[in-house]
Amino acid sequence: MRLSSILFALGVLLLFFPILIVVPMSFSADRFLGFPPRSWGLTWYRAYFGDPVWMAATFRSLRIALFASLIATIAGTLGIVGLGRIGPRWRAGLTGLFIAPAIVPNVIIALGVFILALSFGATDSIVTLTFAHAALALPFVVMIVGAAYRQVDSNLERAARVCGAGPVRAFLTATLPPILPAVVAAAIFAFFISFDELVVALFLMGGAETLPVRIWNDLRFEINPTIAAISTFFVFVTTAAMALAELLRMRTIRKLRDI
Amino acid sequence: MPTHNAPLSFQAVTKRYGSTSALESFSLDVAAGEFVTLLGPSGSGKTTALNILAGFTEASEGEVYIGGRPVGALPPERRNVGMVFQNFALFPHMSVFDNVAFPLRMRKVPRREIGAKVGKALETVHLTGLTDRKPGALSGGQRQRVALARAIVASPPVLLMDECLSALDLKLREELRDEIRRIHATLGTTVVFVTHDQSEALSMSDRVAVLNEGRLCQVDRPDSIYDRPASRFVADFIGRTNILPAKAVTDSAKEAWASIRPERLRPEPGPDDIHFEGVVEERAFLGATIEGRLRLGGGQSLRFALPRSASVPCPEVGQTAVLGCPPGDIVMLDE
Ligand SMILES: Nc1ncnc2c1ncn2[C@@H]1O[C@H](COP(=O)(O)OP(=O)(O)OP(=O)(O)O)[C@@H](O)[C@H]1O
Ligand SMILES: [Mg+2]
Repeated sequence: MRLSSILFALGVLLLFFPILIVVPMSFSADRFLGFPPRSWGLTWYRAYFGDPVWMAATFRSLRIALFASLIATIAGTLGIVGLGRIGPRWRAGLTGLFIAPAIVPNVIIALGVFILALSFGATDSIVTLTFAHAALALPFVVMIVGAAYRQVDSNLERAARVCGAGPVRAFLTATLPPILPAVVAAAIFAFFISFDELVVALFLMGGAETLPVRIWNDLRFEINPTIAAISTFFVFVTTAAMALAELLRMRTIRKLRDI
Repeated sequence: MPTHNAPLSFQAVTKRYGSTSALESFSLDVAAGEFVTLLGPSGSGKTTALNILAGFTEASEGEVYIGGRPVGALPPERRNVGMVFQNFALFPHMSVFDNVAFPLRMRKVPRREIGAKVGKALETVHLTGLTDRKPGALSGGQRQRVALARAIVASPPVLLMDECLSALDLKLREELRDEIRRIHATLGTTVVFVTHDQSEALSMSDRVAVLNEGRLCQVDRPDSIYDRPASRFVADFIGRTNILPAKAVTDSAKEAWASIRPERLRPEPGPDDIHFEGVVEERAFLGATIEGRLRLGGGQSLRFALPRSASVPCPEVGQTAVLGCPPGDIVMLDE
């Protein structure tokens, strides 16, 4: 009992260690990255929010993440509905295909997308990167929405149909509302899959940097506390959003189980 | 709600899943306003038949007709039927009112008429005052009443119910059984009711269709099904019965069977009755009746349920007894 609590505490400490270092460093007023900071201030937050290059990279990433999440969420949700209507053999095969991007290493996907983009002359394109990110996020949407969809009573859609609703209307009124929180949760997860993604972006984006690419490039030349400020800022944003997503996901599953 | 109903008919409907048939050349005519129950053991094809009628499943062969028109090519939303599901299938995110109003909205009923119609439907199922609740906050019985109200609110000429009482406990089941009868009598809708509960089938229906392994065994009035079963399966499935080789009852040499209901046997049979002599093997006192088994000379055992009467003492276990019944109470079966 005592030992297991100690191990648990050590595990948590290990996981949080980077954050415990980075957060104080971001509030330093020193010229160089160092721990512990010798003076305190918001200098580096000001540097981040005041620098047009950082801001451009941030907004580029946000835009890509937004569209990638939108594409992955719509495609994944429709995919799940489609999987529910086909034979079991096709379902197994297609599910595997949808999940594949989560299993194949990102470097391999990056290389594949890069080669494909080359042959279409579509490298260095935000659109290509958006779709690549959507593919990376698809498995998470399929898993999260799929879990909720399986809990929805298939008679609900039939009930809507006999009540006079067409297939699309029946989906929108009977199936979608109960799984909507899971769909929103999936969209949030998908958003951060794209927002965090470095490897594919490195392969595809030459000129226009996304935020992770900008951080990567910045780190190679000098180590400066701006990165600590950015990290801290996004650790909090991501934590809040992911907590919300997880809450929504759990709530859907629990609610669907009750009825 | 005006009386509004339509006849329906299955004509040689077959449904195959791979090499197995869920339904095999199933034909059944249901008159307008009739209450017909599909009764059969699990896997006999009842749900399949109902789903083909509702349009959820496509028949492999044959055609279904509603109001004299073939509907096989129509999607469910254009068949104009009402349906009640076993697990209620209420929309969980909608209030009771919105659930019941849904078919009206889909049919583009003017807004000002919706309130009155929903109120009327809820009144018909004896459920009022809960219109703002979500289905999750209702009891099982209340949910099924809402589901019923939703099925009848748009006055569909045909009402389908698939095991719609089996999720409820016994008392509620009996209560709703009467309620459904009453609603049928009030609305005059054609009803196709699916169940595997024979007492439900016998007590509610104008006619019962008995299915087994995808085939229709017999369609008839409940009392006729009970008194004149057409096959061994029906005799055995509906109520309790004794199936004896015909040789044990008559002197026919043909390979046939005789069905004798336990409650038709009586002690001290008359001279015109068919007699059964045997040793009482088992005997239980059940208040109004005494039930048990008689071991016949030929080795068969015969269940009996005798009315308890002071004048006729009931044989004890181990004693020899003679029971009998009029020949007309014995049903001869070929298969
Ligand atoms: N989608 C399907 N794929 C394959 N076989 C099916 C399918 N649906 C039904 N069946 C088979 O068809 C047969 C009839 O099924 P059906 O659901 O109509 O039975 P039922 O009489 O409603 O039984 P229960 O009383 O258990 O509900 C069963 O043997 C079943 O396994
Ligand atoms: Mg069934």
